[in-house]
Amino acid sequence: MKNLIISIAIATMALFALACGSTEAEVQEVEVIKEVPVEVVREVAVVEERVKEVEVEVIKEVEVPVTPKTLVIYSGRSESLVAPIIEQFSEATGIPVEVKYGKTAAMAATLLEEGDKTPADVFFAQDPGGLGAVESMLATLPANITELVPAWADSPDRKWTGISGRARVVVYNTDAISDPATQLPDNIYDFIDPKWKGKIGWPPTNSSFHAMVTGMRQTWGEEKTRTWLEGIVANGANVYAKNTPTVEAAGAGEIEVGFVNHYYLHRFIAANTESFKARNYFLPSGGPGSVVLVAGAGVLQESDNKDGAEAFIKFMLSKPAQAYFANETYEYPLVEGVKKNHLLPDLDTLNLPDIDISDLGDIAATQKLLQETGALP
Amino acid sequence: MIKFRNININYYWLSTLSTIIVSAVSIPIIYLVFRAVNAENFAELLFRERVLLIIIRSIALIVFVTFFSVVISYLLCHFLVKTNVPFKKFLTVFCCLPIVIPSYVYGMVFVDLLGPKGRIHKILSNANVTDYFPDLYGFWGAAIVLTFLSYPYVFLPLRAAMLRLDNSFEDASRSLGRGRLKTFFYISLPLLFPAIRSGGILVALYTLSDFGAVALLRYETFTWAIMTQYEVGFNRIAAAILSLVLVIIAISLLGFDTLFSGPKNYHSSSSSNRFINIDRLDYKRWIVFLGICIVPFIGVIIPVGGLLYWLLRGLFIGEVYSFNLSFGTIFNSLYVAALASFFTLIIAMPIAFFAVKHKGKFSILLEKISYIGFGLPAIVVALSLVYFSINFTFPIYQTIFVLTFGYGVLFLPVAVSAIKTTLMQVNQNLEDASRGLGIGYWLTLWRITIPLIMPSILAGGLLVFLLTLKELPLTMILAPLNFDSLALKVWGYASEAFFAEAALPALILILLSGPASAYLVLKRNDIEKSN
Repeated sequence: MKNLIISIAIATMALFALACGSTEAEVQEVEVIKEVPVEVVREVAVVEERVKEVEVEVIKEVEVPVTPKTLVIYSGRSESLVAPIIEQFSEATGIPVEVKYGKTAAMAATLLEEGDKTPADVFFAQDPGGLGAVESMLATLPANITELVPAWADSPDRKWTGISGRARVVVYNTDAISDPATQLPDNIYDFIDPKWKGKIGWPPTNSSFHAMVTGMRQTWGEEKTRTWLEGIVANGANVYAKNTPTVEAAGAGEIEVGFVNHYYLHRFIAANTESFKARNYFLPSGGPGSVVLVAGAGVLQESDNKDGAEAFIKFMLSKPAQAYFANETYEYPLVEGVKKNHLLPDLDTLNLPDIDISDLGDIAATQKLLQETGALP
Repeated sequence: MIKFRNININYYWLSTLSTIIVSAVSIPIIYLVFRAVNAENFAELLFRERVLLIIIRSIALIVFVTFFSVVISYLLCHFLVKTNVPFKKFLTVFCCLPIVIPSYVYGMVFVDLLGPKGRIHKILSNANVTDYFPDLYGFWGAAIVLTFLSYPYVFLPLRAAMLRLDNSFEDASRSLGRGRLKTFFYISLPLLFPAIRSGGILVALYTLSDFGAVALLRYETFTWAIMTQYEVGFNRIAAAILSLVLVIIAISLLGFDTLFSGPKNYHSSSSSNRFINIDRLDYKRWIVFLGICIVPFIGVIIPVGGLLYWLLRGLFIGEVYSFNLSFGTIFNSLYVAALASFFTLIIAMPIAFFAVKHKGKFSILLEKISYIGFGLPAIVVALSLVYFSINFTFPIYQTIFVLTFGYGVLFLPVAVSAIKTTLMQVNQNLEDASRGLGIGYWLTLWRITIPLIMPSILAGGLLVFLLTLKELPLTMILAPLNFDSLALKVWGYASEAFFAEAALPALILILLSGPASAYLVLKRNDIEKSN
């Protein structure tokens, strides 16, 4: 029993000693670490947390425009040409886009079938004809958008605006025509001369061609236009499905001259090198043969995202986008202060005919004329 | 008595199902009528000399293309099935490949290479071989391109029929003293006729509806005139009126087709002679080999060669704009094609079964109506579905469902005809035996009939798969937003004259189709052997 008490007492003392020893050790360590600045640091940390809270609130305010409504674009211009610039728009504004690419005519027909239930916010068309076909479905654009482009390049009631310009030209084969200034007439009308028999190519189903003929009806009148169409048909013009094969045929020498838009040639040259045997001739006397057409865009009336849609059109008329069209697609920029591609002549030197592009959407009569003269079935 | 009542119930089910399906795929026709009745200048537009001329031009093209597709297919099948021509399997697969080439691609390459003053002409005249080159624009160019692209529609069923042909008939005829030619006309041709018919009608309808080739090769057909209404006049009403004429032409073609109803019963008896007499040719087999090669050369090598040329020229000489092609695009193409073939098979089966098992005026009528979609320009079918689905099934508008349904409307007859031709040859005794053992109608169908015709079902599905892969106008209009496919890529680049960029997705499209068509030919063969 004594033994037990003694041993407990010893154990207790030992524990006490141990405890004392350890406290002594801790005290020593605290003495080493204990530095006043620790407390100061903590206070600073509290201050920082407060600052962060404020910053989070700021970020939240920014996030609202980051998740705006998705913009639905029907594009009659092909993906290969406009996808990069649409992507840039999306990145710059944070507006997500959904695009449907197709032929302008197919997209216009789709819009007409959809009617007021259309999911589309913007129609980006290859030509005024496509925009004209759906004009009744388009909303009026604010004046601060349409005033960015020259008055001739948009619709007078501001239903759509031109985005980029393309000139009508005569593409010629360089083997057959070595000196276009003397060998080619200065006016498209003179191609009805029988000496051009079998040498002409045209795409009579193409809507740009169609706009040109509408321009002829306006400047020349019905009768002269009819005479011209009959003359070209009598000259056995080769019929092509669209601009591209017409330019291709001119390069191959299948035809000597073709009536096309100016920018396709530059892609053929890019693909075939400078050895591609066709060049553009901008008819010097002006007239409907050198009319400048536009690719344009409009906002759908039923759009539930008109802000996004207008932002899109504004972006397409911004300097970077206009420079993109000038440099990448060889089109004419429409906004002042943006340089055209160095390969193209100045628009000012082109002696433009006095035609309002928006009137070129009047295609029913043109189509009738084309049918009557045998240019179209 | 019980059996009798069962047949009535089955008839009722099948006819109801077929009627529902056929009504659904008739949406384009209903739409056209709806659009056309609102027109004011109906007569003015329709009764013109030019319209008549274009009808005649279309029919001339159809007759030519169909006739030569049949002739070419027969010759190919004859030599590939009945002679010891070398590399038989390889050649057979090769002969099916033209079906995977999109007509707009072939049209572009054809003009580039074989147009007047095209590349071939230039090479010939530069080498002082000849300065003369035939003008292949117009009828001849369109006829050549369409014949060599569409003959596989006849080749595939004809080859299958020839492999299955009961030789005892021909043997009997020959041993009874009839000559080769007479045997051919009196025995072989009538026996093979159902296959020729089913393929021929598809070729005719395809020719009627094609736009890509005729536009690029400048032959004005009826479809061309319809597209002009859309593209020049943005005139849906005029397009609808003209499309109705197309429907009438398609119906006439289908009616014309029913005039040739072949022998009523031509399934072989179980003890038939399935052994095919192979003509053992000596050195001549190499001549035959070269002769056969011409066909896929025109149908496959020329377009693929042209595309490769564009691609390499772009890579090495010109500047390539950007390829911008992702696996997602390829996957999309394969995914919708698989979906479309599955869906089309499902809606094709009731129609094929109804037409064969309950042959009658009503079932034939339904079957014929289901063919019309294939003869319409795809844009008409697409727009009708836009109108219908945005107004009546809005939640699924611009989804994969409407797109798949659209493919179904277009390609239904391809699947129906593939299933039908084989179904007709299933020996009724087998089914009767099963029924006699107390197995029900549907179970017999499931256990006996469907396994017997499985190869044809697969073949039909694969054909739809290949056609969907290259389909363009309908995809363009009905695809969901942001949807991307190989065919859309090809068009997007080619329409803007980016040839190298267009060539790459076009070549991938053709490469992807290759294994499917190889399966189409070879697998079918294996199953037939094991039968």
